[in-house]
Amino acid sequence: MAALLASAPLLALVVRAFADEWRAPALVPQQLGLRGVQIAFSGSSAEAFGNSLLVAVATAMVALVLAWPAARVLGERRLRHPAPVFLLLAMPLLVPSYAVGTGLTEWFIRLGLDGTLPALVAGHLTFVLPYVVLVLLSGFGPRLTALEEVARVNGLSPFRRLLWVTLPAAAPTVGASALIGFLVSWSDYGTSLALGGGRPMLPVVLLPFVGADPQVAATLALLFLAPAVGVLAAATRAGRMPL
Amino acid sequence: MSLRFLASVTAVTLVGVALAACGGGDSDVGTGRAAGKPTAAGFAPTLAAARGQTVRWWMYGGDDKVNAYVDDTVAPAARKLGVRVERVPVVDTADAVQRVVAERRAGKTSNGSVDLIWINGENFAGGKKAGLWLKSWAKGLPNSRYLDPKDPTIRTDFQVPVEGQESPWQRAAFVFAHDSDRVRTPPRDLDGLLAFAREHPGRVTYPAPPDFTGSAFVRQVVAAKGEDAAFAYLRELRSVSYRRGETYPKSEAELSRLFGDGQVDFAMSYDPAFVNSGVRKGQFPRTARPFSLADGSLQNTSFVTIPANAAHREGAQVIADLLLTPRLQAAKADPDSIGNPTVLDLDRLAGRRGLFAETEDSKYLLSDYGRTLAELPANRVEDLEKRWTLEVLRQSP
Repeated sequence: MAALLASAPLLALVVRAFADEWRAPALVPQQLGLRGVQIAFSGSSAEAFGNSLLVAVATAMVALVLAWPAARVLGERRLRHPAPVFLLLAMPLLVPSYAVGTGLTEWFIRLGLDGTLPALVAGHLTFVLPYVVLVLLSGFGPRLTALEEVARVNGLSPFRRLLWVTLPAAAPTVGASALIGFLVSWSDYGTSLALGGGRPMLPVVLLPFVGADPQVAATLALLFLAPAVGVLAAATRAGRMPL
Repeated sequence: MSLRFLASVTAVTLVGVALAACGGGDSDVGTGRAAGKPTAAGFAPTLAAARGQTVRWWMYGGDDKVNAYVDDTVAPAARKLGVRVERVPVVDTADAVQRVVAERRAGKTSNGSVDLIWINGENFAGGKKAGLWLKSWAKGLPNSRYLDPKDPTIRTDFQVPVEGQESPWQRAAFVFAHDSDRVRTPPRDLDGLLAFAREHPGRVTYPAPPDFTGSAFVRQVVAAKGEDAAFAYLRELRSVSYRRGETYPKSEAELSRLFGDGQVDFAMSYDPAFVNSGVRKGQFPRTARPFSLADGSLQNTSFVTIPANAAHREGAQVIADLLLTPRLQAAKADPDSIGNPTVLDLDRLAGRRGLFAETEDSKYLLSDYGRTLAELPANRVEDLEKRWTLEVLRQSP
């Protein structure tokens, strides 16, 4: 029932995407058709989809690696003053993404990196990292430390300990933080535009249609949702109960 | 087409070479000293240098027909000249200008990633003041001979002199829409609109400035009536407008939806083909028709400009020139394409005039927008928007 309610807006989106003519007071579209699909799949959408997917996956992976030590330290409450660290981490989130993006652009241009995929990954990391750290740190704590202690006492090498104890125990939060990292990168318009140097990215292609052309926007939004739903399904499977 | 185009370019080139031979060589077309007499000979080096370039054209990306026109009409024509066109869609032209500013701040004076921008008004004026654009290039385009250099909407952009820093390609005119099934004869002028609103309270509204379209409607009234009379008019209109003016649609898209759903009787837009595209998108009923007011219609032109640091400035000039070819202008005017009126002066087209013949009768497009109301200077726009907020929006009914 809850699932049904949650999917209702999604259903509206699907109907909107295939409604070639739909005006109130009609409850169902006057005419169904593929105009939205035709337009959404013309131009650079396919390339944009590929670029965004590549950048989002790479960003989520790099973010996990970078966030791991920070999340550990914060999660185990080893810092006496965690507040300044949180504040520093959250800083990019407090400023509009386009402003951060424009500031970054200037530096990436100076370094000759702008318009490249590594630049996009690095730019997205500024927004992705805080979320990933915040989600990941909930996986660490006294319970996991105790488990690791047991493993150490039983003579497990550090690598095996990581593989057999730490990772399985933290799997749900690792899955959840990878998911959130992917989604934040996947949907970022500001940095993608500012650092992409004209490279097609899905949010950049999608956004101009929002408002101007509901049907095309709905179709592109479905395309936009597809990998998110896929990653969610994968994360649910991997981490059993991620969220 | 391209054969015909190349043939004509070659022919004009020969004439140009002959003239240059007589005149002792004139190699600096495009530097501005050639003062408005473009020759194809002067353009030949640009064409040669443009070969193999990929032009990144930053432009508003929310109109499927404009996108399709660039991808399916301009790009193939450019390919035949050895130039590739890559469309970079943006929500707002200011994003593209912002990008050029960032490159400038980072000291990137060449090899910039923006080659061409679809632009006009404040964005152009701001960039021109900051010296962002390539200078005097547009005067050297061979096809600019089809333009009327005296036309104020070609020579100036929101009253800012163009000075060859941008080349025209689209026209905009402020038009209204009515549903011929519901309102058989639309109001004749602004007073007629007010009278209609009095007879049918709640059936008229316009988007709230600073929305682009709402702001243009206010300018339309100001241009027709003078500023103080205009605000008196708008205050009067408010009391009989949609929801007694307690709320206004926040954008043109919202007004279009209200109109399409039959909540209000008129829609409006600065896009002269908006009824055409509204019907195509299934948003307007097929009985929707455009109309203009006898007081006149605001009109302006939109242009393409080249940043001074563009990596592919030659390719960008070739595209700008291509956009002015009669065939491509005619294709753009076609109701099945963008349906946008040409920027060319039909009297200068001679034999090519026939290309535009079919475009003149579509029930969703106007063939005549009536008297032209000139756009106000770009810097007055904001003051009017503020005054509207103070005197119309916040005034208690």
